[in-house]
Amino acid sequence: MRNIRYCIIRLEVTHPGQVVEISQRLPMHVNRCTGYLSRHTQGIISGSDLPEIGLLALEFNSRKQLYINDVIGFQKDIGDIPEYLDVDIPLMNGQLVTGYYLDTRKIEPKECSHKVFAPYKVSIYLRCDYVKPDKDVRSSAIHTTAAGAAKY
Amino acid sequence: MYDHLQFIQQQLGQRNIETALQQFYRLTLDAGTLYHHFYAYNQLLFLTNAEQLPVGTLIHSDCRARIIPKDIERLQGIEDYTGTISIQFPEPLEESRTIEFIQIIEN
Amino acid sequence: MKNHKFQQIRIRINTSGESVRFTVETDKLYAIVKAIHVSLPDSRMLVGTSLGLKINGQEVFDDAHEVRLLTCGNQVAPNKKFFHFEERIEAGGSTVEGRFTDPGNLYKAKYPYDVKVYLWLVNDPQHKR
Repeated sequence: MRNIRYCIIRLEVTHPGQVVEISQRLPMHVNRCTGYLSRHTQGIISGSDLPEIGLLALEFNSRKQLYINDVIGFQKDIGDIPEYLDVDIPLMNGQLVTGYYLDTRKIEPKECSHKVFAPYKVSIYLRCDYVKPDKDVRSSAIHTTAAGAAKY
Repeated sequence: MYDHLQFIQQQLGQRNIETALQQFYRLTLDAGTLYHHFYAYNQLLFLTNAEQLPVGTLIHSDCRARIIPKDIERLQGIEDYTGTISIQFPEPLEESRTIEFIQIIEN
Repeated sequence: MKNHKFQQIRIRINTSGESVRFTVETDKLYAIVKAIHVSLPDSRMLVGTSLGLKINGQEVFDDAHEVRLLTCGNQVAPNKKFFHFEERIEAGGSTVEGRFTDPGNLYKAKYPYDVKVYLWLVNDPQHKR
């Protein structure tokens, strides 16, 4: 049986052309990333869809390999539940996910001020598999910490 | 003193990258240049003279995007770029500039 | 074993009607190009835009191949926005030669703009949707 944990990386963009650096440690127990999805979640108000508001790059396992480059867009309407992009990325215990988000919205020069630019948020969702540790009833009943330590 | 070469070797070791060749890569951009891009796949380019770039320059690659900050001269670290690398200056260059990288060709 | 990578190729279009040739190489840690996605700053620019592509000497798309046949709108789920290649296309450091052509004058686009071509690279040849 699969055990799934959704790991979320939240980014906040506060000024035009901003580079938001990503450096987040994934939980120790996740061992495989099987899905990826990123979305604008809050802040932008527009009467039409925007195919591109920014660019995203993600590396896994503490920069062992660059895996994902993506364009982030804005949807004015909420459509169907989005499907995750299927990936298969082995994860090493507790390593960093790194990368950047670059805001690429085309802002007219007259609008290009912090007063006009509306800060917004982007969320990255990583669907990760993890293995539940086997339950050792006798050991854990006696001393939980000792039983956990004994496995490693 | 911070040793760039040692740092690079450590980075490559930590990231399990085997090196086929390490050398300098110089890119000269003419006066008037506002934007330049080039391709560097299957290699890493560590920018060694970021302080020569105007404040506000955006260097954008597949793994990293960086805007040159005002206090760049007080920073010691060097950073790597790969893939499609673009350099966007805030204004056209008044004079030509040579940007220098340590190029790591991956094995 | 590294199984997936989404390799990005950016192409700068400076003027209306410009046709830009580019040559890059695929990441050599991945064996196969599984799929492609092309992203433009505005979906109205898809009309008349074309992309030719040759990978490892093998013609994948003719220079007149319309981008609108390779991409989709923003509302499409991430898992469905890639165009999947039916044939096996070798990656592994292959040379990718392409030509992107802006249609010019059809839509009042803002120049310059960047086209992003995403190659979905995999290692497992059995990996099909």
